[in-house]
Amino acid sequence: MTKCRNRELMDFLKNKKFINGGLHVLYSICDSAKNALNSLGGAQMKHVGTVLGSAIAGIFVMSVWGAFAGAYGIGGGWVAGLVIIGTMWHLNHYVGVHNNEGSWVDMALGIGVCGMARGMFENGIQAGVDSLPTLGIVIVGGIAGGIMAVQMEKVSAERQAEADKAA
Amino acid sequence: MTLPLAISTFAGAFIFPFLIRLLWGKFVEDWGPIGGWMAAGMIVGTTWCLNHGVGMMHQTGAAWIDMAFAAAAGLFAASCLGGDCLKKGTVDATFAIIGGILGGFILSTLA
Repeated sequence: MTKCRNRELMDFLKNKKFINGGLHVLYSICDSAKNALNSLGGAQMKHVGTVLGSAIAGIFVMSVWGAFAGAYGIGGGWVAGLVIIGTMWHLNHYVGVHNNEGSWVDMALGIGVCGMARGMFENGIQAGVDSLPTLGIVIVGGIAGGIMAVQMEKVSAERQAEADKAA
Repeated sequence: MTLPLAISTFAGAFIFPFLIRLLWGKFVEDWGPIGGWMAAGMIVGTTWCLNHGVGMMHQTGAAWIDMAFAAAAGLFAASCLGGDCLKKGTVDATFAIIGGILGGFILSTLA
């Protein structure tokens, strides 16, 4: 139990047994929470960071962005991209709240899942099932884009290597 | 989802991770963290206008399929091709998905 500096306040409160008991409960809850978080340690805390960073990014993207677009049209949508993704990128990937130790998991995954999940929480599982054709094509198209980007990187690297050899 | 719509959806999905993979790193390399802001506006903002503003990405159901899925899939695939560890990536992906579901649940409380 933390020391209370204000002796007079504590004496006053101790006279009311109910409040005293409540304070005890509150202190022990806070202590347990503090101990639990400390004991999680670095190994798990980084994964909590991923969950938080993804959730926060998803929340902003799937609510504020649409509001911008609704209020200011397509230009509002562009500005929303700048403001929201700029900030969320800084949080998740620049500062590094989103853990990335292996293959790159972009905050975009959490954002996409957030949008789809919200639809399913609001409208039921069928809403998600109905959206599967779009999801399937989007994922296949995305993978194709990623693979081609790597091929372009290889072309660039070869070009660079030849330039270095010629130099 | 007719074939023409599938083609435009595929194209929109292709373009997003293609641009991110090739440009974002360069922006940050050239301009530091400001490059992140530039990338967010130029790449994500403009591609949003294409996929969701103009509507290249056709939605088939009530649950919103964001172009973010394209970025996630494409960047993950590119990273694996580039040699990064798939197993650790899967662990991170799992927690990202949990975060997404949490965010989706919180937003659904607004409805």
